[in-house]
Amino acid sequence: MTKPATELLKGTLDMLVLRTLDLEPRHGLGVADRIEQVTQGTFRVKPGSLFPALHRLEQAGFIEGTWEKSPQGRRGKFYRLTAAGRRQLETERRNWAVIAVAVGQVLEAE
Amino acid sequence: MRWLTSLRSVWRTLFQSSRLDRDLDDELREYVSALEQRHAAAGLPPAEARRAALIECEGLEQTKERVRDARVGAAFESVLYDMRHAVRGLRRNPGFAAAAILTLALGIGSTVAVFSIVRAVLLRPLPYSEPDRLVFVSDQREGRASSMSPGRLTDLRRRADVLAGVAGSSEVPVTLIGGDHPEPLVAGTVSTDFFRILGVKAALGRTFDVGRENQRVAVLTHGLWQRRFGGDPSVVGRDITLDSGNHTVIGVLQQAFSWAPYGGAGRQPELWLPAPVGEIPAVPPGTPVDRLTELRDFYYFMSVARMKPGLSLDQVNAGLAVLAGQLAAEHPATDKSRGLYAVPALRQVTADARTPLLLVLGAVFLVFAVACANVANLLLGRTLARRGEVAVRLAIGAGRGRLARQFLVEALVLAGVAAGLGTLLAYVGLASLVSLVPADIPRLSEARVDGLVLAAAILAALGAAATLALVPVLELRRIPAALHEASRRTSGRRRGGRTALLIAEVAATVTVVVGAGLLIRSFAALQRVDIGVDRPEQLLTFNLALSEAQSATGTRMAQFYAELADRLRTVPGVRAAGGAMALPLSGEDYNTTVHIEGRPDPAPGENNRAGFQPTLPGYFATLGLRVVAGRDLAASDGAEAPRVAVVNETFARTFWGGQSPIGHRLRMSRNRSAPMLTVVGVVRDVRHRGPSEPARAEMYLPAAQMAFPSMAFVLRADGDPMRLVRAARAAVAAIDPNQPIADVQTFETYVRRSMAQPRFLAGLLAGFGALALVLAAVGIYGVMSWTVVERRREIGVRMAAGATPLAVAGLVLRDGGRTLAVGLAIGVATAAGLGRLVSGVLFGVRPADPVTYASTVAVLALVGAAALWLPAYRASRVDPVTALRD
Repeated sequence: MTKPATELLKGTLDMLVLRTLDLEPRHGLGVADRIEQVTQGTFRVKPGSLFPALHRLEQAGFIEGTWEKSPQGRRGKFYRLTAAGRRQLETERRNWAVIAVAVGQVLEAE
Repeated sequence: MRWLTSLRSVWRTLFQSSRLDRDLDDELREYVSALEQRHAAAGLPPAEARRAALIECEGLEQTKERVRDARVGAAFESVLYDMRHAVRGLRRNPGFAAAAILTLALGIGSTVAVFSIVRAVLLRPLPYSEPDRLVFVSDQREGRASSMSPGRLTDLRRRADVLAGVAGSSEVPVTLIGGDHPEPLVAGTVSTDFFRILGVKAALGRTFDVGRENQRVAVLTHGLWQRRFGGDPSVVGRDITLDSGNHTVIGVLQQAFSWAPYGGAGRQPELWLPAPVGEIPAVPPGTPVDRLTELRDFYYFMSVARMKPGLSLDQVNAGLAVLAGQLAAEHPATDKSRGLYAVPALRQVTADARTPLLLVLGAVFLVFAVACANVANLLLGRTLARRGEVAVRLAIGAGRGRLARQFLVEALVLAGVAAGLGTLLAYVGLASLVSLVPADIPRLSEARVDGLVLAAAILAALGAAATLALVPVLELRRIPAALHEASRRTSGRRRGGRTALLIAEVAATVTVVVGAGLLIRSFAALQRVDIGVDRPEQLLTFNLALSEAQSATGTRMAQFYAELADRLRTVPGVRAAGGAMALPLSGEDYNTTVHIEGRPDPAPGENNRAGFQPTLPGYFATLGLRVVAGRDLAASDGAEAPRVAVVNETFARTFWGGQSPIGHRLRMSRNRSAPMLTVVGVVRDVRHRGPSEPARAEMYLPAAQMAFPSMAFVLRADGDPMRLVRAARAAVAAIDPNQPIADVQTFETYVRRSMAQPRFLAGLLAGFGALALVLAAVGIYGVMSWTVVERRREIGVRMAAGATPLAVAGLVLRDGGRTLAVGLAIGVATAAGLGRLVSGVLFGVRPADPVTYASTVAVLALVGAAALWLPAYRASRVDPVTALRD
């Protein structure tokens, strides 16, 4: 599996985390698992990138972390998207669409 | 609101960081164990499962570091951490901390104190409205503006369209009568628009009505109002009695008002009177009537003016030059060689104080630099001792930038504490320092630690911190990242930083000590000057300003003086008594043009000025001035007798060369109907302006023939002159009990006061020089000791190879000596280069005085050798066995 160039994706990683938490609240490992699962292994987020991203988003107020007992009985920090985070996700989705189109145009241009 | 959230996050980062760290630990631990469980569930044995989990995580510590860095306010938090670390480091080494902080605090404190004085005296704007638009108009281009004649002032007022108003100001001694005792004061006599042009408003009441010149009104200064009238507001509207009659007080000025057109010389007026600066000038009462028409020959008005809005100084000067040309053409005899120049008001007031103050500021700054260099060396020594620690930190991944920042924060903490302490010292000590400074520096009493001074202190602290941090940071680059590299290189390049600092220290010290030496020699030369007075320690002096009653007519004044002189001579213990208008060294300067009979009128620009003094008979005898030709003034030279004068040697030489002037006649005016004076005697020179200025041409006229309402008396005593004080007062009171006398002091005190400034400067610079020497000695000693410690191995090797202890000591001495020599050379060059700047305050000594330089080099060499002695001795005592073993 290719390890993605994490530096390039730092902003994108934030967006992926927000999107993952939009579906349901998870703890850190859960977020990493989900992303790996959905991208069928393309993106494997290591804790070295995941945790800085989670804490950054938490400090910015886009996600909220609470200590809870998971269904498995483990004590873990569960993250949930906030209203501000939902708004931020929308903004970033729109930006991503614009970027994708632009990159496509460059690649397809004669 | 996002910013609120961010703020909360910053708060948490700074103040709850330990809790955040614990949470992060827990979170990561849970993550790892969850992964572990997964691997175990997939079938791996527990140890393998754990290892696999950890490998997947790729470095937990680094993850934690990254999270911490990502936190909002992370940078700030790490700076705080650095600060706490720095403080802890200082507390662990209290000796080092105390030495460093104290040295820096002294350096910063003295710089701040001197800067407060410079700020108050030289930099602070004058207490008038828009003071940078005010100028003094002078006849001469260089130096301070001088007084102007009333006629010229009138022309200036009427015709200078580049100026939006010109006022004239002068002083007159008056006596305030009433209360328990009459008090002699100096009153400012000014044109009625004076306060308006300055833009000064009264604190109580009002200032003069412009244009109404003949009113008998007065404006009080705040000081006089408090002192003499107890700050009673009802004084406005009341009459006060001066010797010239009653005046109605119409106002009191604000406390901040001051007026010092002569710099600090002379007393500040405490009372203001309107002078009719119009057709008839206000001449000092008692001036012979025929001089009233000489509006252009007699100079005593300072003219202060406001530049027209929108004009620059150059434009104003251009306009004035045009007017000067016109006046020269209209009055060729008096005004031909005179220009008109606008001198900015601040420059006028500060002219005398500027060079000495800047000199002191420069010296204290150099001392501060030496102190900084010392502390930098101290710090560097400590850094080198921590080399191991730093290498370890580099090895485990700390960035060099981070470490450099840590050094900077350490330096800032040190400099910050020192600056705080130093500013406190300056604040507390400023009052004492000001009281030591001779009083004739204007606005000195206003020196305080204000906003600008604090800003300067902060700047000084930052500069110090930058210097302190610089060398450790530079050293940082040389510390190898690999721990195993031992410091085998011990010489030359590695110690470059320290050596450079040391050289700078020595150079700075040389400069300060040279400056001190020059000033000390200058002062000594001043003291050695023979003023011309014989046995000055026997003389007592006092000033007398005659009251209105006594100065009503010239005759009355002459009678008063004669009677007083006679009474004084009968006092037991008085060997001689006499008086003149102004004593030598008083700086008071009345001069006139001289027109000698039988000679053509001097061309304009040709020097034909001389000082003149109404003098009482017995004056020369009292001072011990020998009459070298002709005769002394006598009581017979009365008002009705033929007009005579005695001139001094310089006068005779200037106007008659080698020939005798006795019997020749002269006039004090170009007006041919002015009375002729016959020269009847020649007397020895006495220095009038000050010990540093040669005697000028001087004329002594009988007081009976040129009455003046004020006189300075001098008595020669048989023993201690102070014992005559009471008798002198009694003699005056016997003639008129309401007549006050002022400034009673021995002539020695009087002379000493006139030399107060050079004495103070020499003393202050000597103090700085001594301080710099001590600091430099400590610096040399410290660095050399460190060097010996560092080079122990090398010394051990040398000794093992056969070097004697003497040779090793010689090594240290040579090394230190070389640094010293380079420092001395640079210092001498610097001092020589700066020498030109201080030539203005020197007397009898050239800026490149070889004696001073030679003794400075000798002193520093001695001090340096003494500082090197102990390290050299220690080097010779190194035991090669232990040195090689370490």
